[in-house]
Amino acid sequence: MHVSLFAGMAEAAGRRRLDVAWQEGTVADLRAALARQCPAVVPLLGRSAIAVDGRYAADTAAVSAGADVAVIPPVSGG
Amino acid sequence: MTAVRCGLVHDPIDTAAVLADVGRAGAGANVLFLGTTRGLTGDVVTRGLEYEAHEPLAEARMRGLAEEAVKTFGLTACAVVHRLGSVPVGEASVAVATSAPHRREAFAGAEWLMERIKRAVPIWKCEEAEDGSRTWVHPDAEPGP
Repeated sequence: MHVSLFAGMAEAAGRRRLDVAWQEGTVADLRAALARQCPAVVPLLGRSAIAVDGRYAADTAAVSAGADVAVIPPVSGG
Repeated sequence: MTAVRCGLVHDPIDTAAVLADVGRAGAGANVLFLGTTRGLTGDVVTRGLEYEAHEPLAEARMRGLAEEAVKTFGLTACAVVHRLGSVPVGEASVAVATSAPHRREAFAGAEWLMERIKRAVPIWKCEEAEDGSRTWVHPDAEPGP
């Protein structure tokens, strides 16, 4: 599964996309998987929302293997 | 004509066009707010800002907020444009225009919309300091879904 990263998340990871081995699970499981795979993102990940298929998803929401996932760190537009 | 227009652009914002977008026969008040890159914050010099976004989510969120502003403040029309990429000092990164029968609603709607855009739209800014160092800005507040 591809997980898109932006701004400070992409900078922390050193890339704009993480490829995560994923069968099925919840958003919380996905957060844990991202933290294991890329410990550098942990501080910001804890303050970030997760978007699944273009919508913000709660930690209890299911994430399918083909989902389009993005990590949304605290925003600063304007 | 729809009451709401939203967009993301990668070039300088045509601010006159954003204001013209909200002109209507029933509107006696037209407000245009521009957020521009500030070159000086106290004594701290900023060379420029760079913005990026989760574009589909940002556009959807901007549209939802603009529609909410129209309903809440009784606006006649509303337009929001955010620029992405590098925005030099003095140039606009965001333009919000509102129109209403009278000024109170137009001002209030524009201010509310800017507050919400800054807190709830997945757009991020990177500040380039005088020494060339770059810092992505991620405020402490949680991102609001």
